[in-house]
Amino acid sequence: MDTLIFAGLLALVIALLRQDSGRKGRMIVLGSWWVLLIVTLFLLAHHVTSSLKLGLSY
Amino acid sequence: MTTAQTVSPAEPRPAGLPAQAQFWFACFFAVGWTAVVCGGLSVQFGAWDYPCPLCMVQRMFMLLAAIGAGYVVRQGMRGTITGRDYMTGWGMALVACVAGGFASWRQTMLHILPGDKGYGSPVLGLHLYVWAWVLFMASVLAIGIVMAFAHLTAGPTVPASPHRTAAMLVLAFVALVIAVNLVAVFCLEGFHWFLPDDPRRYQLFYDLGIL
Repeated sequence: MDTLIFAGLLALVIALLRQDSGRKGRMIVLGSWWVLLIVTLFLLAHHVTSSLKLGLSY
Repeated sequence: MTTAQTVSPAEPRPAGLPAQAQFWFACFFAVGWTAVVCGGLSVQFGAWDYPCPLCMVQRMFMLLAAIGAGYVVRQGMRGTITGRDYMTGWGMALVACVAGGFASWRQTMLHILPGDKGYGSPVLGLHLYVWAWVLFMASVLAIGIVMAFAHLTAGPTVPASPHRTAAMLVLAFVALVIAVNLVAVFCLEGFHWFLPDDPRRYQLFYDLGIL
């Protein structure tokens, strides 16, 4: 998963460099960025294996 | 019957050197976060520390923040940055910094109890995930300050030279560091979906039977 996300980040920067000035180019970059963010958040959730409270009383 | 009206800004658009401040700050922001990721790579290979899964997640958020600023930089290469472009880029950077701040806070909290030595080697007295949290929060503050002064610093036009060359170098640097991370994490993860909680070796070489 980590490897795929970094591959996606590299593809995103290449898409940004090749971005045309129209709406389509903006949507490709913006859409890809949000997809990568959400996938990274899922990866973070996968690695958060205990309660966020961590057993502390706060 | 009502008619639609176009509202034009009453104030003149920002001009001169201050008007380019957000473009240059976007360059600095993208290079800065990419340099922080380079710092993580230098600890990984210099001190031979194996980055944990949460460290890799924080690097991803750092690079997503850098790409947010990179969006502003990229529009500057065309010579024109609209208000929407500035807001899109800084919005992306802000979301990535908040998400990264959460990830680094979480990892900090795992090691907050007295006697816990933390994960990896400290740098300048703090562990990398604590530095990451400090920098994510500083970035949120910086983006807020920059946006608050948008009427002075967010000019719509960017000169050709040396701005476009600088923009190209910034994006090339971001791409290069992502490519290095891609190779490094592939070697660490091998042909597996997830990194182990406490990586002890570069798994790819064992998967291939080289080691």
